[in-house]
Amino acid sequence: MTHPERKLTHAAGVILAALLPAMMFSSPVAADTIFTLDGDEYAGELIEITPTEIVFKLKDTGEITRYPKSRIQRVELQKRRRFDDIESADAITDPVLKNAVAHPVDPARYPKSNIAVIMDIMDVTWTDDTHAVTIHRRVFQVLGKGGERYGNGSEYFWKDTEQLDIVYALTVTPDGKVVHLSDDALKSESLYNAVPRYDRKARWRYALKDVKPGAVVDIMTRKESTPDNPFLDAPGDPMEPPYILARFRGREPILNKVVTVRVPESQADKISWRLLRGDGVVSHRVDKAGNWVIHTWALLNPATPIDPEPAMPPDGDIAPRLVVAWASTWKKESADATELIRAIDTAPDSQHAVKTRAAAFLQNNAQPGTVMRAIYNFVARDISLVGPNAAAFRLTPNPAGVTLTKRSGNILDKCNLLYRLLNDAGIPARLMLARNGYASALVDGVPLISQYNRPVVEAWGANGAVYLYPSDYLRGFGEIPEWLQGADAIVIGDADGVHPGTSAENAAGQRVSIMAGIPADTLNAIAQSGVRITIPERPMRQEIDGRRIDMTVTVDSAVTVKETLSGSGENAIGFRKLGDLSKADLDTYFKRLAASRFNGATLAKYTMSDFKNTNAEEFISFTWQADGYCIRAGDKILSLKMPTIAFNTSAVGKPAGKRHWPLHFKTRAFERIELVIHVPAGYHVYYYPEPVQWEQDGMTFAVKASTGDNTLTIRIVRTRTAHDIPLKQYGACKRLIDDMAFWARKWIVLEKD
Amino acid sequence: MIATRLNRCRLARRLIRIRRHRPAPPVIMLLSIAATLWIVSAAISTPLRAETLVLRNGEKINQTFSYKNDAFVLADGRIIPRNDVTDVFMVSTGNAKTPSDKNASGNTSATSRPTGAAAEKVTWPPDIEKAIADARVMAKKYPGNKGVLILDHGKWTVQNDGTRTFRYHFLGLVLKEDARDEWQTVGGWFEEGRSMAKIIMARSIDPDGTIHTLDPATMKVSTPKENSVYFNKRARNLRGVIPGVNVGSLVEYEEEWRYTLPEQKRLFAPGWRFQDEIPVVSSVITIDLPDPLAGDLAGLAFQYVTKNMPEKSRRPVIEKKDGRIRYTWRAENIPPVVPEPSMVALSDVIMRLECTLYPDWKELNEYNARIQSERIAVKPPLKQLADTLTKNAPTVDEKIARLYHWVQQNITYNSIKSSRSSGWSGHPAIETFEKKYGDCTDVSILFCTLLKAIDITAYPVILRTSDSGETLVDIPAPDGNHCITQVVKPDGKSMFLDCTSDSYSYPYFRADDHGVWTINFIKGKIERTPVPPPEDNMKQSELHFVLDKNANAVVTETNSYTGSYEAGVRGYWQSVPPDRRKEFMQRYLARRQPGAVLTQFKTSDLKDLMTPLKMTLTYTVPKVGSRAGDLLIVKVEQLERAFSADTALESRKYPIENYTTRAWKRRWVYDLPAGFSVKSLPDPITIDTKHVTYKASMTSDPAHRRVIVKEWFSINTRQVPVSDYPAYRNALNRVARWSKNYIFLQINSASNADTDKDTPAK
Repeated sequence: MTHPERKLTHAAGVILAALLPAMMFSSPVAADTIFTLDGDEYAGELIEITPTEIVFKLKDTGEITRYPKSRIQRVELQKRRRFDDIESADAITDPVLKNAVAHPVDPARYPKSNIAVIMDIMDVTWTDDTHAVTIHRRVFQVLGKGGERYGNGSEYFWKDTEQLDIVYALTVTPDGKVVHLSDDALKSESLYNAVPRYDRKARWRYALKDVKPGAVVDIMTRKESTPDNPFLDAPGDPMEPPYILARFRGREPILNKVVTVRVPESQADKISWRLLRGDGVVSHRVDKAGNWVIHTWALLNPATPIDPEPAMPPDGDIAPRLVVAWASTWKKESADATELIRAIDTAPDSQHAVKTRAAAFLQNNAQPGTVMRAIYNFVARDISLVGPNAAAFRLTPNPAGVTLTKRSGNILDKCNLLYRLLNDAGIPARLMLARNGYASALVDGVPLISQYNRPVVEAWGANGAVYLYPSDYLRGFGEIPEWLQGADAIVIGDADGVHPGTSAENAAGQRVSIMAGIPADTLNAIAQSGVRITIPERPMRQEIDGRRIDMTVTVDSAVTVKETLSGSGENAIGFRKLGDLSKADLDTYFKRLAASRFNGATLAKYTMSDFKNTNAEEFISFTWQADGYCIRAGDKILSLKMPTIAFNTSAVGKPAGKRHWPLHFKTRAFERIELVIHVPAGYHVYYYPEPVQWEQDGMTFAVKASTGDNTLTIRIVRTRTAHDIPLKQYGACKRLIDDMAFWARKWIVLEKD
Repeated sequence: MIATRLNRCRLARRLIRIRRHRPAPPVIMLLSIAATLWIVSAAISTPLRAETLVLRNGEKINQTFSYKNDAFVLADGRIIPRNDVTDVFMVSTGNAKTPSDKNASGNTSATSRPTGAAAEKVTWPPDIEKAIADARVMAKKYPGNKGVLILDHGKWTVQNDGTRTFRYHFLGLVLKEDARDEWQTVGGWFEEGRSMAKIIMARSIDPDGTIHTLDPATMKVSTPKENSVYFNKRARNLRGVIPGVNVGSLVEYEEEWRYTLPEQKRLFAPGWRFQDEIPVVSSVITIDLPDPLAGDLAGLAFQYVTKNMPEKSRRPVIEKKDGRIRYTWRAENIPPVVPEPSMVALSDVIMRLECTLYPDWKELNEYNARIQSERIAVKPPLKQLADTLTKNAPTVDEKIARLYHWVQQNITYNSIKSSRSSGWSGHPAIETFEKKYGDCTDVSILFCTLLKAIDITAYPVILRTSDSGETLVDIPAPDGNHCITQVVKPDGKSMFLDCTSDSYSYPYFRADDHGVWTINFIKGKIERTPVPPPEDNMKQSELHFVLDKNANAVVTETNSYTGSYEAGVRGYWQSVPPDRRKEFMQRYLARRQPGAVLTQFKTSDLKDLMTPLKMTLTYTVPKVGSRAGDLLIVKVEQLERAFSADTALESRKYPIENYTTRAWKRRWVYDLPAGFSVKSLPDPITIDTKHVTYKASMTSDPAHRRVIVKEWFSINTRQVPVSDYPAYRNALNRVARWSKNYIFLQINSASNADTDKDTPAK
C-alpha cells in the first residue's frame, strides 16, 4: 500500500461477491417509455395496467395519464439496478466508488492517458470444469477528451451457453451528480447473424451518460456459463472449458487490479495457473473460506500505461499476464479434441457423402500430388467461406458432410472438410489449431486448447508436409497467411485410423496409406512430430514482392514506362482480387494506377496473369506515357526521379535513444526491383544513385547498377527476415531504414553529349 | 479535411426507404401463388400476439395480464416481477391480417419445398427461359461482371387502412465467387411489433437444372449489430443461406414484407432503383393502390417522379380493376453503371423512381412541425443554462457562438431511435440535456431550445449529406439522413449550423452539409445551404528552412486554419492526450521527411473554439537535398500535389463531387549557406479557372542567398459538371506538374559541402 491512490486490498474481491446477493432495488431514476400506435413516445413510469387501460406517469409534467390500451403499441421498461437511488456523490456509500470520487486522479500524473482505471476486480467462481460465474467491476476516471469514448462499451457472451447481465452502470460527474444507465441506450445484439448457423456470439452494448473529463464511471457485469453443451447434447465440451486470461498492465494506467478465483476445496488441486512477468508486480495468495479455496492475485503498485510505438511487440508480451485453467496436459488436450471431432463426423450419411466425393477425386486424378491439389482447390474455391472464424464461433467444427452438402462453411469447417477428404483419399492429413502468430506468445505452462484458435491442415506427400489454409478462391495451394507461418499449433484431428479402410498394415505391422503409398517412415514422421508443432515459415522465394520498371526517356522530357508488378504468397492474393472486377472497372483501375504514377499520364495497355489458375507467382503489367516527367535544369541537364521507388520509415520515426520497446515486425519482407532506363540519343548518364550493400540484424538492402548501350540498369533487393530486433540495435536499424528512404529520393541525371 | 465526427450522424434506418427490393412479372406471381399449394410453412420465431410480455432472458409470454405494484399478474396466475420484463406489447403484427395472409404462421416465417425434393430438376416458363438466355448475352456484352440480375421485380400493395405489403422476386445468374458469396444469403429487416418479413421461396439451380432449396428450419431471426453509437433496438433481421450456390448457378428467391402497424398510416413513399453496377435483364415495380383512396387514406393522391429514366420507361402502365389501380414501370436490358473516381453519389445517376401519396407538403410539414415544436420546450434548467452561457456576450453572434460551442462540446454523439417521432425529431431538449448524449436531431432540438431561451429563432432542418446523393424535394416525401439547425438572427439573416461535430468554430459547419437541399418542416420551406468560399476551408502555412553546408536544415513551420480544415485538425489533436501530441507529430514528420527530429510543437488552446487554431513546430531535417555531382536538388516539402482520382479518365460520364471548396496559402523560405547558388528555378505559373485557381512561384534573392516559394491553390466549386471536366482536368494536371518542380542549387567548389555523394557514370 505504498501508493496514495490505492484504496482497496485483496479483500475487495471477496467483499464484492458477498455484497451481490444483498443488492437492494429502489425507485428508478431512469424512465420507462410508452409508445403510441401512431409513432409518438413519452418517458415516464408505468403505474398500472388494467383490462382496458394503461396508467402512466409522464416524466415531463408529472401528470398521470390513462391511455386506452388500443392506443398503445408497447411499453419499454427500465430495469431497476443497484445504486439507482443514489443521485449525488454525497450519497455514495460503496467504499471503492466513494474513494474514487473523493480522491480524483490528477490528469497531470498521466498526461499520455485518456482514462485511469481506478479499480478492476474480476471475481470468478468455478464449481466444476463446466460452470463458471464471473463478476467483473471496473471503475475508471476520464482524464481527457479522448476518454469520452470509453462511455460506450460492449460486454460479450455466447448466446447459447452464457447469460450476461449489466448489474449496474453509472457515472459520477465532476460536479457531483450520479447518473445511471438508461435502458434505451442498452442493446443486446448478435454479432454474426448473416449466416444463422454461425449466429452465436452476442454482446450487450451500452452508452453511459455524461462521460466527460473528470467523470468517474463504475460498471459491474455478471456472466454465468451454463453447463450444457448445446452441440453434442452432452456436458463438458473439452473445446470450451472455463479459463481466465488477465493482464495487469494496459494502454491506460491501472491503479488497482484484483483477480479472485474460488473453487470447491475438493477440486482445489485441479487448478493450473501461470503468472508471466508478475514477480514483484502482482501478489498471489490462497485463502480458505468454508468449503472454498480462494486464489487472489493483486497488483502491488499502480501499473503505468504501455506507451505504444509503431512495430512493437504485442501488449500481451509486455504486460504481466495471468492464465488460470483446469489442470491438463497438452497431450490430453489434443486427445480429447481429437476424440470429440472424430465423434462429430460419425453420422453415416455425412461420412458417405465425403467418402463418395473423395473417391471421385481419386478416380479423376492419377497422382497423389494431383489429388491433393484437386481436393484443396475444390474446398478453397467451390466451398464458399461464410460465418466468423473459429474464435468467434466455436473450436468444434460442423460435420464435414454438412459443409459439403451446403457448399459453404467457416474456415474451421472448410479445414475439417479438407482434412476428411484428404484422409478419405488416402492422403495422410491432420487437422490442427494454431495460435495466431500476430498474437502474444503462448503460455506453455497452462495446457489449454483455447490458447489456439486458427485452423490449418497439415497434409503429407512424398516431399513431406505441406500446410493448407483453404480460405477462399484467392488463396492458392500451400499459401498460408503470414500469421500462420511460424505459429504454434496443436493437433485436433489425427491422420491415421480415422476412417478405417483408407489405411492398411504393412509386413512390419505399421499402418500405411493405400492411395498415396506413403511408406511407414512417413507415417512414423507424422507420429514423431507429436501433437504440438511449429508451422514452418515459407521460403522467402515464395513470398516475393517484385517490380520491373522499363522506362524510355525522350529528349523532350517525356517517358514511356512499362511496369510489371509480381507477387507470390500473400502478395499474389492482392493481385487475384483484381479478378473480381469487371472489364470496365479494370479499365478504370489501371487508368487510375497510371495517373497515380504521374498526373496526366495516359494508360497505353495492360495485361495480367490468368488469376483463375492461381499461379504461384501472379503479375500485372501496364504501360503508361507521360509528358514532362523529367525536369530540365539549364540546357544540358535532364533529371528524373526513380518512379514508384520509396521506402516507408514510419516504424523508425522515433529518434534513436527515445524508443521504449524492441522492434517487432509481424511479417517478413522480400522485395526485388529492377529499373531499366533507356537514355535518349545524344544524352548520357551523368549521375545515378550509388550502388550499396547494407546489412543489419536480419535486414539487407542491396543495390547494383550498370550502364551500357544507352541504358542504365538498377537492381534493388530488400529483405527483412528478422521478426524481432533488440532495443540496443534500434539506432542501427533506424539508420539503415532512413538511409534506404534517402537513397530512394535520389535522382538520375542525364547530360547532353 | 473533414471533422472527426463527419460521418457519424445519419438519421435512423427508418428514414432509409426500401429501394433495393426487386419485383416479379405477372407470370412469376402466378407461379408463386400456385406454389403455395404444396409449400411447407414454418415459424421462425415466437410470434408476438396481442398483449405480450418480453422477458429479459428472451422468453415471450402471450397471454393477458395486469400490472400493479411492480409486478405483472398473468391470466394463468403466475406473477412476474417487473425487473424480469423488458417490453410490454399491447398489440402486434400477429393480429393484423392482410388479404394475402393465408399462409402466414407468425411474426416471421419462411416457407420452402420439402427438403427431400433436392434432386428435382427445374423447368422454366418460356418468358423466364428467354430472360435467362438474355442474361447470358448480357454477360458477354458486359464482361467480367460478378453476375447478371435477371429478374428484379417488386410489388407494393396498399390497403385503405394504411397497411401494406411488399413482395419481391429475385433471379440472378452467378458469374463470379463474390456474387455467389453475396447472393446465397437472403433475408430481410423488419421492425418487431410493427412489420414482418417472410421468405416465400429460396433456391439455387445448378447449370444442369438440379434444384437446392433453402430449408426454412435453418432460418433465424436476430437483433443485428450496429456501430457503437447507434441504438435501434426494434430492428430484427431474418436470415437464411441458400444451399448449393456456386459459380454458374441461378439464385432465385421471393420475399414478402408486411407492414401491419405503420406508425403513420398515410405516409407511403416508396422508391425503386432499376439500375445497378451489374447488368439487369428485367426490372419491374408495381404500385397497387385502392381506387379510390378512402378510409385512413382519404384525401391523399398518388404522385411520382422518375430520375435518369429513358423516355419510354418514364410513364407507368396503368391498370384499373376491381376497386384497385395499379401503376407498373418496366425497364429491360439495363447496362451496368461503371463507377468513376470522385463521382457524385450513385443514386444521383442511376435510373430510379420515387413516389408519394401526399398531394402536397402540408400534411408532412404539419406532422413533423408538431413533433419538433413539442420537443423545443424551454424548461427552467435550459433557460438557466442559456442565460448563464450568454451572460455579458457583447453581440448576437457571440451569444449564438457560445451556445453552439456548448452543445457541440457537451453532448456526446449517440443515436437512440425508438419510434417515428424520435427517428425524425429526436428527444425533448430537456432529455438530451440531462443525458448529455444524442444524435443530430437531438442536438439540433437542444440548440434550437437554447436559442429560443434567449429569443433567437432557430429550426431543425432535414437534409441528405452531400456524399449520399441529392435530397428528394420534387415530391412531398420524407428523405434525408441528417439534421442540422437553421438560425435566424434578429436582423433577419439566416445561417446554418451543425452541432454534431465537436470541433467546428462558429460560424463554420460541417463540409458535407454544404450546398445541399434542406427541408424546414416548421417554416414549410425548402432551400439549399450555401457553399462557403475556399478561404473558409483553408490551411495557411509559412515554412522557414535554414540550410547548412551539408544540406541539413532547421525548420520553423507555422500553420493556421479555417472552416472544416480547422475542425479536422482540431478534432484530431483534441483526441490525442497532451503528452502524446509531440510524439505523434514526430512520427508524422519522420514519415514525411526521413530523419526529421521535432524540437518544438505548440498549438493554440484546442478547447477554445472562439480562438482560431494555430500551430507552430520547429524541427531539424537531414539531407533536404539530393546531391548529384555539383548539383544539390532540393525538394520543396509538401509542395507536390497529385490528383490521380480526379484526373485519371480522359472523359467522364458523371460529374465530380467534392465535399466543399478548399484552399491552401503557403510560403517557403530557404536560406542557403555560403558557397551555394541557384542553378535553376522554374518559371512561375498562374491558373485561374472556374473550378481551380493556382498561383505559384519560386524566386531567388541572391543578395540574401535565399529562395522563396509561394503557392495559392484553391478548388473553387463543390461540383464539376461533365462539360467542364476537360478544363478542370487540364488545370489539375498543370498544377501537379508544376508542383513537382525542385530547386536546383549549384555547389561551388569552395563550399566544403559534405552532402552524400552520388556515383558518377563510368
